[in-house]
Amino acid sequence: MSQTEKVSNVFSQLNEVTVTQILFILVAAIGLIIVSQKFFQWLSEKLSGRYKLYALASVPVLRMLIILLAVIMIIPRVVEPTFENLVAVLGAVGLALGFAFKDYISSLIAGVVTLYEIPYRVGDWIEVDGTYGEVRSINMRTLEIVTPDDTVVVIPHIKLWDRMFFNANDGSRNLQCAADFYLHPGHDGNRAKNILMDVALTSPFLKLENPVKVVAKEKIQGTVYRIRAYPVYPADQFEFITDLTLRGKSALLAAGIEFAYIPIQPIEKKA
Amino acid sequence: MPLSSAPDESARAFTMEWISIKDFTLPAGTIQTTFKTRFLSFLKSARDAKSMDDALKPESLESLPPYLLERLAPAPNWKDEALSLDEKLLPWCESPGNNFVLILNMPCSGNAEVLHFWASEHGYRIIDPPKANELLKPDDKWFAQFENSNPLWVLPALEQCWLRHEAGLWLVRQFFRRLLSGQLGPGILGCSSWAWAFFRHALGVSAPISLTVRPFDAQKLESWFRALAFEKYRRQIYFRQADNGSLVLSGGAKKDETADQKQEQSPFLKDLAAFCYGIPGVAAAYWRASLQAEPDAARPEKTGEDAAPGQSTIWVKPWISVERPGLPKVMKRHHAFILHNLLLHNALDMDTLSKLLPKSHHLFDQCLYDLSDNGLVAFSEDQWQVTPKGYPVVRGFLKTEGFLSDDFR
Repeated sequence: MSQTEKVSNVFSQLNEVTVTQILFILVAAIGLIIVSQKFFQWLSEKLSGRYKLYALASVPVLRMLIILLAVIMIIPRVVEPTFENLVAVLGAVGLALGFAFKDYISSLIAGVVTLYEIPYRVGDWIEVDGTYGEVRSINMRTLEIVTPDDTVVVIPHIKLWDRMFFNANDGSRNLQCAADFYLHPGHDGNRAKNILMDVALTSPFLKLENPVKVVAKEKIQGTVYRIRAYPVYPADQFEFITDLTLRGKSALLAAGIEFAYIPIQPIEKKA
Repeated sequence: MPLSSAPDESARAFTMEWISIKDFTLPAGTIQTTFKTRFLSFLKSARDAKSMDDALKPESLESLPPYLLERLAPAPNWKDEALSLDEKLLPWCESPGNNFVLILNMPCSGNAEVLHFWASEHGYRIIDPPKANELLKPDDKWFAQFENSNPLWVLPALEQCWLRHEAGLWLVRQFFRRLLSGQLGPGILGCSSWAWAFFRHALGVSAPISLTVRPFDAQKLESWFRALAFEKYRRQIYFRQADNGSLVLSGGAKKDETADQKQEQSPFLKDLAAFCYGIPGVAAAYWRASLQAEPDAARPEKTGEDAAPGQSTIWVKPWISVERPGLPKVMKRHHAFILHNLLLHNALDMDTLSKLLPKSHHLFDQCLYDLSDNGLVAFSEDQWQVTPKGYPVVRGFLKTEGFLSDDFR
């Protein structure tokens, strides 16, 4: 038996029926993915709280399942389903793709890894290579995040192998925010701390079940106070910090507490 | 001295039964209706189309005319329940062993009103809350009311003594310091369950003894609605569910057990009790909204004291068809902040409310009117308040969104 015959024996005879079946499976899989994506997005808009996150998180998992099912259905139609044939074909395809699309395949594999390691989910706030934003979608090869400036950043999953991903809420609705206040060192520390605590407790954005902390540290510029607290909605983090900062500032000024500042020395002209 | 727990014969005449918070359990609804209600509300929000309420509504029936409604389902008179507190509170008042007893008030429960009337009946000193504009200044003039308040004071609504504002916690902090150190003397403290949840989390306070009203389950609602309906009305009237004729309330002032057993009983009151968290004021509002009569019967032929409906059946809408306020189509953060603040303070005027919110006044007005259009809040006596019918919807929404809610679960 010639080499060509051996190779051709591995593959099934592709007739019109088989090709139609494969096309049908592909179209059905793509259709199902689109429909499921749209459905879960629509569902997430109708739901609120944690259910919204669950609905969004199930999109990539479902997509993966559909693709896997489609591949399982297509392979026996293309390859004679013996063990040797499968090993030979998958090995050859794997080798070829491995060289040609190393990074692409690596990203795809990382994409699969994210499905069970779950380092990020839709709705999480993550930082990768200095870019911070909310995960909008997780695709097979990439994830998309939206920055606070409303810019979409596409990040390949391959970065998962060698970069640090900072996840601010890790699938939950608990996202800690911090607001800093630089105060003049000559003030009553306890009073300042109590004022800032009340500022945090009375913010309408605050998630009251979570702890609220006010910590202080002495620095060259003055005493730095930091309010650490959680907003009800993670997406409100910037409004929350703004609210804490503005109300904290006005409460401290009303209490007669001065803010630290670095005096600017006028440059004396040489005579 | 511990609170009395032995049932007293005289106390059984009251509709309200006061229990310790530890014994509080919410009434359960029927599984079918709970599922159906949730499914329908989901469909309603999803399709934004005509709800099934309309399909189920019997077209031949009309709402009760006001005169008949006032006669058959009058608004609750909390004054009548004032002495229901005697059983639990009088033994404590005679020999108070703790600084205070907490009466926890669910919104629209009428507890604060009952406590107010109870204090008046017994001649105890009632502490008035400060005015809203006094709450943002550190001033302890308000505490003068507690002086000479022997043998004890009663503060029916602590939720009106603070504001969720950076300067609005001073007074309530001072109050708890003085209360817990015994400087104020013994007293009875009424507080909204939402405000108390805030104080517990934010200020770390707790109450040695806390009481609330046992939630009204189907049985309690039945006897209460019966008492309200037949207080002025001696005729035999049947309250039947409009879609299948099953019995909701029967007969006259007293329940006819043998006659009722032969008829199919409606699950309406069970579902009503569960939906309303057993809160009497909320249940009464829905009860009034669900009563209907046939057109001829609804027309007032007589207006005197002896006026009677044309026939002896009042139709009650099936629970699934009773209109409930909905959330605005586009819910913004501001809507949630407004609703949460209103529940924390029970009621707020426009100016004070605007001080407790973070955004611009223009947006705030718009959100408030959205909520008002949807029947979730109402303006009354210069203050905004969550409506009795809106409360279950608002509570469910705020809880799902992750806002701190009260401890009644």
